[in-house]
Amino acid sequence: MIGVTRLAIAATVLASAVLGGWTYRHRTPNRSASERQAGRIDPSRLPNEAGQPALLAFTSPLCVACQRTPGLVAEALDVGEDELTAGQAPIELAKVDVTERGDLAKALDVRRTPTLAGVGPEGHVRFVHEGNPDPEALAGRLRAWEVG
Amino acid sequence: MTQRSAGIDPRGPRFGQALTATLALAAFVLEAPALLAVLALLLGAGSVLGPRFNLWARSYRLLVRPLLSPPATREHPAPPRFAMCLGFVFVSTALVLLGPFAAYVPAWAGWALALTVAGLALLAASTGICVGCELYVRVQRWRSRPVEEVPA
Repeated sequence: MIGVTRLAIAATVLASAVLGGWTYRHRTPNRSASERQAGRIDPSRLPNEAGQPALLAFTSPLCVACQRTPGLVAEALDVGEDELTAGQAPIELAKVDVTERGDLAKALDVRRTPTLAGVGPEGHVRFVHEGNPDPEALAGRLRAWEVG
Repeated sequence: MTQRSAGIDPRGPRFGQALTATLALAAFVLEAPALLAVLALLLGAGSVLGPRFNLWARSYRLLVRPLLSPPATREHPAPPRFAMCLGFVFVSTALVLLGPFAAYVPAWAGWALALTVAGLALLAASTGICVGCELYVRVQRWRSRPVEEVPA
């Protein structure tokens, strides 16, 4: 005979896992610069070319979704992925491995990968987006930033 | 054009995690450690002996994959296999607590482990969230010294 208590506990586990995970996935992925602890980072600490705005793509080993990030950014910039990789796009895309640059991940409060951060030429953090970006939304954000 | 990476269909492990969660929850609801033993066997075979002995993956390829379109991305096989191995360890520990050690520890301890496996598997199956992966990022952050910050 199936215990009602056990059924209730099982249902709670089911609901908690699904709802909790869904809530976590759909919480606001974008955090504005005002929410950042570090509003500006010393440009010499950044992996991109100094004095230029850049998109920092935080990745980690074996991160599956991170493989899609360059393609989505290229789509947002309306350039080929090859052009983006070759540095011929309006903005540089710099990959940051969190295992090698945990300091940057900490400064930008990177909690998961992939995370995309927009950084201005003087190291000002413009936005941080968790997960892969929607190309249209990213394009709009970059236009507002007057990049691309 | 993006070069297609080698790897597995990421929907396969999620299908397997759904089956793992179902079996673990069924074992708990029916109070049937035998089902946990079956689960341990399946997880152990897949993680230790490799993909050929992964019944979940074979079931996915035979029953589900023909109904779906090709995957947009491919996944490295190591993380799902690691997760399967972890599940095997947890379920085996639960079996030990419910079996040989039943006289020394309360039954809820073993079932709590089984429910943990079910919860994490459900989380991964329904949302794709990999708890281990996210912990990994946090550990890397914790291990690093902070970058120098300049006044805004």
